[in-house]
Amino acid sequence: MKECERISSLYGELLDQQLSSHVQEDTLEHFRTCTDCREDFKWYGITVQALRNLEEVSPPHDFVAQLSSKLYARPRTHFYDPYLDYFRNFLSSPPQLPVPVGVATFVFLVAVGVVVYNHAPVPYVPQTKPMHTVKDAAANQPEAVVAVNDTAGMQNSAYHAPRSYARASEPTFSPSTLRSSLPAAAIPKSIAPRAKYASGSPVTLADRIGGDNLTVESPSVDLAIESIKRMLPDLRGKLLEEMTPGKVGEKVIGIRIPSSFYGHLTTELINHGTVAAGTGTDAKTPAPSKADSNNLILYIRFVQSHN
Amino acid sequence: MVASPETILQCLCLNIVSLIVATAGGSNDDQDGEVVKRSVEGDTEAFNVLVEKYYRKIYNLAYRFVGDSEEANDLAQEIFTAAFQNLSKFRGDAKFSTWLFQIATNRGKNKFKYLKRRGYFVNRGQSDTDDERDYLQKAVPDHSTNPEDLLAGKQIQKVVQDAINELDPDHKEIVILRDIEGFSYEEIARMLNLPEGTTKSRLHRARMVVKEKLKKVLS
Repeated sequence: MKECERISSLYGELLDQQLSSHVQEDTLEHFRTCTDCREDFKWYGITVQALRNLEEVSPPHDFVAQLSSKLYARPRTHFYDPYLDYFRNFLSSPPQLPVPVGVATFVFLVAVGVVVYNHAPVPYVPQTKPMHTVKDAAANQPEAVVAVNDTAGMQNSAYHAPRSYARASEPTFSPSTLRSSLPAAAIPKSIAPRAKYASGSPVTLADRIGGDNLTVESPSVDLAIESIKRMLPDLRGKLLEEMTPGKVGEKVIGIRIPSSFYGHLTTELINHGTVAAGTGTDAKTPAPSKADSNNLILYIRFVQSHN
Repeated sequence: MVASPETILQCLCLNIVSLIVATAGGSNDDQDGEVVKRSVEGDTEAFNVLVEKYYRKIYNLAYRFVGDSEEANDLAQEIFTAAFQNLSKFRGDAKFSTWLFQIATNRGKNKFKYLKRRGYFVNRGQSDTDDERDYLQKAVPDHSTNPEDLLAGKQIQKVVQDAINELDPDHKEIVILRDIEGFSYEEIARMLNLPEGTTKSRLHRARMVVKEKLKKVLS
């Protein structure tokens, strides 16, 4: 029986003719004497032949086409594919913009916003002719200091210009204008009109002077001014400029005095009328602008008192 | 009357000789080298050449693993897709055909296991009912004068395929690679990463199982 098992294990090699001649002889000799093994080997041969004779199964006629469509329908690499997908899935899934589109959209919206802002209608800001300054305060010629302000006309105007035009037609009396006509150290920061322009409300001289300067309401403006001018040398001060705004009876002087003489100056001003710090709605505590650590630059507005 | 085993054996010997001759003269894997190289470099046309050359064999192998045309089609597509995606990993140590059939065998085995777990072969295995067996036994004598016709008969083909289906995956892959695809023991051992002796013994056991099935049906 063991011999039959040994012979059985040689079937494959016997079929493939890989047995040595004497082993093959022994095997065939065994077949002559053992009917079972002979029968078994015949069926083994039939099996191998049956396996090798299996017909080749034909693939579907479109096998290669199917495969090609699978293989080469690879994930697309075009840069615009995410954008196409975005619009394609717009109604079927929550839209998710690619990052570049998000950034571009943001930039676009900002740009549109800037353009709209610049072209938005704003109240017409009247042109103001440059305020001519005098170097020599002693001359004090009325025609030498002229500021023409058509505020009243502006208030009645129904015209609204685009913001960009309005900016172009801003009054020429501006900090830069003033600075060009004054010594650099003599320009207080508070003299800038700042937000008043943007709000669309009328720009007054008080706005230009700033809230931390002084307003003197006096029955005799000229007398008060002359008095201040006279005492300036005693205070080691200096008249910087003198302006006559559009309103009748209103004058503005700019002076520079040492800080320590601020009390003397206000005392003198009180002698000539009512003194208030600041002007209009911007009134603050009396804190004058400082040109430097030792000197003050003050703009004093004199208005005619009616009592 | 059953076909005489002696007659079948004579025919068998002739077929084996012709198979050996065909295998020895049919190797043209050297031609694959350049095409494979171009495929690895991304030439899709070159890969198409390889597909054209091997898709029938791969489909046939897939069919033998799963025993169904539709599943075989899916499996063969999957094999080529895997080969295409892993083409850059082909180092050229072995022949391209060896590498491709290694992928095919692994995929086929996995697919077979997957289908078996899902009970895919349960109903199909019951096809050799008593009626069918009777039919086969009656059919055999008609071809007894020509054993080749007998072995090539549609019903025999089905019996053999059913027998293959019932083999366990480790035996099935060797039978397919050796007896159906005609690879040498050395190539099979390399593909399956097995010693040549193990390959031979597994093949022997697999054949013996199929033999018993055939004997049961045809005797």
